[in-house]
Amino acid sequence: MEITVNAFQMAQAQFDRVAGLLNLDPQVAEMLRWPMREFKFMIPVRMDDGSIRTFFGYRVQHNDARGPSKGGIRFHPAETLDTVRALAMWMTWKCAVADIPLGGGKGGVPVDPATLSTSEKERLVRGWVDQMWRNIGPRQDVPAPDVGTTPQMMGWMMDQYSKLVGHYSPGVITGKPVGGGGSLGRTEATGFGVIYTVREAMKHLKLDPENSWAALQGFGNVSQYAAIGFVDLLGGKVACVSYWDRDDRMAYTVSKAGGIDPHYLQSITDQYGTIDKDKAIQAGYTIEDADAWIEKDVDVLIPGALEGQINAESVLKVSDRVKLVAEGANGPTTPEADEVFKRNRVFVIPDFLCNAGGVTTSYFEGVQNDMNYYWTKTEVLERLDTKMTQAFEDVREMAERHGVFMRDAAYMVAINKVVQAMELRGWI
Amino acid sequence: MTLPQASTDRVLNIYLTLAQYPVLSTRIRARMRKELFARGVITPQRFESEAREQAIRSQAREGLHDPFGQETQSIWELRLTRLRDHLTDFYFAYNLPYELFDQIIRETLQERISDVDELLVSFNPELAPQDMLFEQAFAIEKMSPEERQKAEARLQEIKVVLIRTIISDQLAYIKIAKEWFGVADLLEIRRRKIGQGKIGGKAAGMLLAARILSQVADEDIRNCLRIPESYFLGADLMYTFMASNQLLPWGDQKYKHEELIRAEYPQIVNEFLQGEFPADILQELRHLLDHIGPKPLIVRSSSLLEDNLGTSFAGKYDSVFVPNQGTPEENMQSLSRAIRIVYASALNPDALLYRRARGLQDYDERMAILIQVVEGEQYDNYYFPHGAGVGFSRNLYRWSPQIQREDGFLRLVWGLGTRAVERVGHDYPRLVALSHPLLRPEATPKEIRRYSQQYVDVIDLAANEFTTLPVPEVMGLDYPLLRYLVHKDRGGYLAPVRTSVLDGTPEDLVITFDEFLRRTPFAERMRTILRLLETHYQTPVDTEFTLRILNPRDLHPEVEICLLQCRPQSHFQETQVEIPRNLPEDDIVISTHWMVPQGHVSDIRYVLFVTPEGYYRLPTPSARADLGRAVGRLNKALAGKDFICVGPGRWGTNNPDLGVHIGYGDIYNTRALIELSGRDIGVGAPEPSFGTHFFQDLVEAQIYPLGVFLDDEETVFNRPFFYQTPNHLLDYLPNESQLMDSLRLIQVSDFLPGHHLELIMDERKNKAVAFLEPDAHQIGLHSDEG
Repeated sequence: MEITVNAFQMAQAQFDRVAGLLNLDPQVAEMLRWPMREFKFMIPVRMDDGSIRTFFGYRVQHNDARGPSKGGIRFHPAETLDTVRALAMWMTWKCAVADIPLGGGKGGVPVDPATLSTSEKERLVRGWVDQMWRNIGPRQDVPAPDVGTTPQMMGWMMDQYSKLVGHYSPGVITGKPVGGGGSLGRTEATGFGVIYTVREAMKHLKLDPENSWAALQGFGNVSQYAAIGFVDLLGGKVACVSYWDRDDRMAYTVSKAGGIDPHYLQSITDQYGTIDKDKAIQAGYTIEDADAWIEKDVDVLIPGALEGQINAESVLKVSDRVKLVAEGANGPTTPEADEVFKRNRVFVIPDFLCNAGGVTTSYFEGVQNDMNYYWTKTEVLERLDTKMTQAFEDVREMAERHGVFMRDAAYMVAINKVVQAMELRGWI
Repeated sequence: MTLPQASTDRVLNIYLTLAQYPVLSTRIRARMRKELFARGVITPQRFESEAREQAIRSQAREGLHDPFGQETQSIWELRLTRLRDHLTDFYFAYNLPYELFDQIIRETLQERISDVDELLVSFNPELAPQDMLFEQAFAIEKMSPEERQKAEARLQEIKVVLIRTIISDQLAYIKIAKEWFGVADLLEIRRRKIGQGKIGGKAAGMLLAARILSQVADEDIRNCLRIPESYFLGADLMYTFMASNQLLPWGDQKYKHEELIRAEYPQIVNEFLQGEFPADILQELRHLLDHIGPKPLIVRSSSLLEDNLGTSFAGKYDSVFVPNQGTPEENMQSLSRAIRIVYASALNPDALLYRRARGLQDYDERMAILIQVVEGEQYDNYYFPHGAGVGFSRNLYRWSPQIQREDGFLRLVWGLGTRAVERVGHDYPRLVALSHPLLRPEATPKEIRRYSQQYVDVIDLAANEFTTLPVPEVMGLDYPLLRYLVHKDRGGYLAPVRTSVLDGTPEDLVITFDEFLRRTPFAERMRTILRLLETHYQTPVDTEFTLRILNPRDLHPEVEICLLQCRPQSHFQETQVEIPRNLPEDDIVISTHWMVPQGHVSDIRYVLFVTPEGYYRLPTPSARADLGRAVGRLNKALAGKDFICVGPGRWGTNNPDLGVHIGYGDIYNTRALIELSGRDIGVGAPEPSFGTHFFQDLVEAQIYPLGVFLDDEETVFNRPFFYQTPNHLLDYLPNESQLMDSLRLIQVSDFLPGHHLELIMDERKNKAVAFLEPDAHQIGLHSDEG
């Protein structure tokens, strides 16, 4: 799967469009079009065979007017500075739209983590912290796991940071393992968050979830719990998921007549989201092309993996039955595809609203770290539901008040909050 | 010789042929005469005397007996010109071949001006028709450099004659204008003019200012500057209108008594409104409206005296908006009504008495009309510019020492500029000190809000009328220029508008122009424009302008400035009173040189004096507050009397240790507000406030703030005047005897019978003096005329 769209240009284009819609002060717009800080640094890692391999690390802090930067660290072979920038900007909007007091950041290392042994990964993430520790921290910039990184890695990073600053500092990183300063409900958070917004949207669209079908792209953390949530929480059916096959180095769609069982598929999926396709076939699943998910005759599409998946070309394959697109992934829909959805009156829950569950729970984790008191999983998910429902309502209200589409409305809510914070702090 | 018979074939032939060349005929006849003289048919002297004899005889035929006395100079010249033409045709027809006539026409048509000398002797510019002047001027401009040099003086003469006949006959104006206008400019003015007369002072000022700037300003300014689409009605049309409506008897109005002038004015307006225009003028106005289309217009006075160097006539004559949104017939009605109103305003009492006061009464003042397309754009149902205002090249309203007077000053409003030009009660334009555009006299958001524009003048397109509306009624949250004009009141602080998602209502918006001044090069451009105009007018100027923000969504928006008017700075002209030299020391009551404004307060009869010792001896804050209230009551009681206030520290402060706590409502009848400062005054010798607690109110009411630093050696503070005079407080406030030590009301004539005070503030010398003046003696207004 290749990234064919420059994600940062796309993020800027979307921002510019909304800035125009908002009649945003051009001086402020100029500030928000670019990250406030960018770091690029070298991480030499001693490999298990004794050789030294050089990696490059990135960290981008887009805007921290509302609070410390917040955003994941991605280990992905296609990572570039521009993808990190785009995602950092999106984090700014995401935190603002979810109304959590944090700014936007993102980090990454262009590497396929599956090519590294566990100890090599540990040395890599500790190396990342060695280079960045002065510029991150609970009141500065709080990284978290993302594509290709895991809670275990976050534990190592927290440890490395605590060693360097000289005291236990769990709040520097979120997405830590439970028991190591992590929050319960973290694993489910993004996927369930997607489903909370899907629930609210279906209410708004008067769709009955129990008679609805969804097709999901991806089967990483987000799609796994979105699928589980759609089936378990809403009572709907999931036609398919797709996944990236590490061995074949290509993607497939996995479907089953009568609906997939997400729990079963989860049980045959490794930590990088690769489904054991032999076992799947044995269990009666069909393995289809990578793009098959998008053509399914369903009510809800949930693109839950990487950027730019629904584009000018692929959008034409979307079934007329689709009424709702929930962007579990960051930036899955290109502007051209977005236009098609607008024309066809497909209700889109935009990415940074739809998948804000993850960051909201990260925020909860930081809050729990700060007070050194930990909530139950139910408490966490309830609070998450409240936050996500409120965020969805805010955006829907803005969309109605100004007669704009949901994505624009979400941007308007978010940009407005960030601008207000900048103003109150006297930056503008 | 009698006049040739009209039936003479040869003469008729020439006459009819020339009739086909209404413009060139003058030049053709000049050449015909040249042939007549060259071939010895008649000598020039004989020809001229015959023309005059004929002219006198023709007068007799037309019932006149006194050849010069009964006819104006211009009619006499016209008579002569016509007879010269007839004589030319006659002599030529009977003495020279028709082929020669043909040849002359052909040559003239081909513009064969082969010989400069021929051109220079062939006509008298002072008497020649305008067409011929233009033709000659263009011909000279087309010459080779050597030839042109020979003809330069003639070109200058022609230009002066054209300026004098088309624009203005004011010598001071011509002196400057001839250096700037080209022949093409003058032709363009004539092309836009209806009627023969001059276009008057206002139009002249606008055109000259624009011309000067187009030549001396840098590219940035040239690119941003324009003048509105303008048309002119010559000043002669006013007399045509008056003559054809039996209004000429009102011509002697200016010589009547003031009471009569005032009493008769309503009738004059009424009769002017009943008047009708001759059909040919109506036709031309109709063409004009067709040509302009349905754009709102303003019909402005442009009298011959108006806006000229030395006199300003600021606000003396009317301007009338014509929304121009009705049917063609309705629009025509409104336009002609507007012109009639402006004509009538030539006889309004203010204008006539102003002329009388300034020695301009005997001038044959006539009213030309300037018709301009109103600058602006449609928003909702309304039409108005993004901003408009008045700009002064000298800042006479300084509230802080860092403000540079040479950098100029603006009164800026949103919407039509009428609110900036005129002082309207209970509303405030944005005052801009161009040296520090973002500095303002108000300190708190609450004050900024209070002293901001509350009403806006617009043209209501739907109602087809000019109207004044509360700002929130016109300004929606979607107004595209919002960011530049307003701040949002967020309760306790004012924040710029960053996005169109605004909580709240239009009532939360406060017009500040801050972001406009911050983000556009406007203030800098205005500073340069005013400075250039002052340099080349050789006197401080004031201007009217509108502005347009060209690309409001850009990071660096540009601004377009449309110049509506330029004239000598009226305030300077009319308040420029010299402080008398060698004033006897005993006559001086106050003399100070601390940030002195420009102004003159005459005929001061009373001084309200809060004594510093008495005030600070008052035992409690409430006693001091009582004194403030007493000042307010005194202010009311003294309405209609000319008085000034003198007191310790800062008038209007909230802190009774720093000065007297009063509001604008307590002192609005005073003519000046004088603040005493020095070692012995109050707690820590508070600096004067220079009226900043209600600065805008003072500016609008022309109340002068003035500081006096008592410790300065050059300062004069006449203690006997302030302390050894009777206190008239109880005459007005009989129950305030407890304030007798702290609040004194001084009647000037008690100190020196038969005298009053004059307060002259000379901003340039930074000196203000209040001195005793005998009642009989009037301080004359300084005048640059003559």
